[in-house]
Amino acid sequence: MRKVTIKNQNNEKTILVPEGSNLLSVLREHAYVVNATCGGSGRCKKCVVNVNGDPKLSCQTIITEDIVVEFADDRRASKQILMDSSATHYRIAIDIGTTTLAGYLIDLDNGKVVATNSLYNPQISYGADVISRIKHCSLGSLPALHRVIIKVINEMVTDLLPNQRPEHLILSGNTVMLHILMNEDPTSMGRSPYIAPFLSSKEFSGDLLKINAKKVILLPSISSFIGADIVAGCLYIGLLQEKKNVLFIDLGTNGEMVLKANDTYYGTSTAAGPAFEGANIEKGLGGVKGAISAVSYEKTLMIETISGTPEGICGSGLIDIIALLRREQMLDETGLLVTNQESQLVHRLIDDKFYVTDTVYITQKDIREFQLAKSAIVSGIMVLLDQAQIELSSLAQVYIAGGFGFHMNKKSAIAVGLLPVQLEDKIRIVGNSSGLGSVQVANDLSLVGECETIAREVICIDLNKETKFNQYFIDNIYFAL
Amino acid sequence: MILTEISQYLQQGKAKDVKALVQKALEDHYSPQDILNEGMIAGMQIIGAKFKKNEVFVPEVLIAARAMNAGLEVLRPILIDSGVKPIGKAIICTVAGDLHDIGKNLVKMMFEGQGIECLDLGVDVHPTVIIEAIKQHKPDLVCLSALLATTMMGQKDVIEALKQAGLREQVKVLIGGAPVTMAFAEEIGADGYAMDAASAAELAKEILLNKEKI
Repeated sequence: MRKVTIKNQNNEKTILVPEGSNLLSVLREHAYVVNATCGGSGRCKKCVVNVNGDPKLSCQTIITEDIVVEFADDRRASKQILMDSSATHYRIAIDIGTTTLAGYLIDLDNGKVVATNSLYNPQISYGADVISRIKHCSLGSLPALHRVIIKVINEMVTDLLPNQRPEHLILSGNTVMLHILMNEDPTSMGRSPYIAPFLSSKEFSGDLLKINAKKVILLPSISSFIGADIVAGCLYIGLLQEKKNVLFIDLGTNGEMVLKANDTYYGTSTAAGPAFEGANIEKGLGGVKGAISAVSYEKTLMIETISGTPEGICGSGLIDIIALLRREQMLDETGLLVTNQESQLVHRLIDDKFYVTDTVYITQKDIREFQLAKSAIVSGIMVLLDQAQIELSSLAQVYIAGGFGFHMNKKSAIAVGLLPVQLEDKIRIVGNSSGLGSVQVANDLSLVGECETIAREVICIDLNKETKFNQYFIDNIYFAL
Repeated sequence: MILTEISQYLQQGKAKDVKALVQKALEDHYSPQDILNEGMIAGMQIIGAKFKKNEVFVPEVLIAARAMNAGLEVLRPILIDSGVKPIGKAIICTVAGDLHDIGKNLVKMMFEGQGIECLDLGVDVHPTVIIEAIKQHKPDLVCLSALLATTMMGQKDVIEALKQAGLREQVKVLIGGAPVTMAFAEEIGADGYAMDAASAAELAKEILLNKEKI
């Protein structure tokens, strides 16, 4: 056995592990949060920790001696109290995102959200995307992933409501997150034909899963890759009551979208990849402290961060930078970085990297990742429209959900071709519609029935089986001239 | 020189021009082998190298490959008549449970660009189908693609099935796909791994040429 001493800002702990253990596995087992975007295969280079003073990739570190490990167990926790409240009854809604969990405390006396909080999903130690999580579950880590999610949900509940147990806890999230929550094996969702063990809503006593709430309600999902978060989003925008043709897009890792056209509902998931959430991007970050969320240039380069000093780039920052590079003719229509001596920003382009600050930059490869992601989104939209046999011009509104969407500059999104130009005046940004839809349910539990209707009505389109998807995908990889 | 022109038009993806120039080169009595190697394969190699460096992207490779195929349409019957053989034969597919084929298609085109004959079994291919195809077509290489971390174990399943069927020694198994790594290839006992389509074609060529020496 070897001694591993783990130090971070909060505490210090020593544990004994068998010689030859993998350091990332050890940290995971003890519920530390390490950003292992690629799932621990040594490729993303993000799981760096200090081992005996030297930076090392934890996933590639085999413990052969006693070591001291130091890192920031940075969970990016935040809490906001919106108003004073002294109600006797509360409900809580939590959206379990692949990257972030968002909690809402609802005062039942007036139906208002009185506090919110958010926290990184600690399952990030098992990879950034749902596929990596499924893989780890299928290899035997389901109990561990289940345990950490229950633990953080309870932390969030206690944080929002310290001295009492909420009446109801409403949970939404993508289908994979909800399976892990229920300790149900998601393996069958990881490969064609992508079958989900359960999709319907659930109501059970919190004691069943040791969740700190009297009753837990789980919203229903549509398919393996269109989850309860999308159902809650559709509820929030009032999709069932909508008379016109509208499109709802969650701009995140899974890039889910639902189209309502001529009273029929079509849904798909584009698996756009985690580029929008900052994974796969060398200096990428989620929408958290230190992330550059907006960049503009009029004589000087203006940079906004979510808060704090710039450490990396989140999705909205990424599209601003790419839009800027296009405008400055430093990025050609194929997506190649080019040296344009005419641009005042040319000195920031060094070795195929565009420096936004002295330390934060985007690379040629980052741009390629973005091209794949944006093309997946546009191609998904086109396939859904084909299914419904309508044109872009007959869409009355496009709702953009998701944390990245919240900060997104609409003009930049159009300029980089993330959304077709025909939609420019129809974009409406709705924020975390999954969380907000769950809040509506918390206020009126009968809305679970409306969620069931949405889940039942949506016709799922599997893009892998649509031959036109590949053609659209290739056609939309470039930037428009 | 006409062969350089073929290479250049191919890199630009100009299928019609490539086709016409191949025809003209034949009329000018260039050997079909030189047209293939110094014209088309040379062009495809340049595209492959640029792709590897992120200088060009998926569409450029696809249109170059399309141009290559246009040229091959003219050249193939003549190559066969003059007894020029491909440098090897490969079976290629995505593994069971995996429907993503853009990467596989790129690899296939790159292989053809290197003069490797490809039999494409498509997507979501069960090991038994691969085994039947090996028995029937006797390829040198079996190339397996998996895009998802959840389907990459399918590559291992194929290797195990090959062992069981007693075919493992007859073929070299190459694997690839976004979640696949060199370490994984070693772990499951594959013969090779490449991180992109261009590298895959180079690796395949190297293996095939070394095999001939033995």
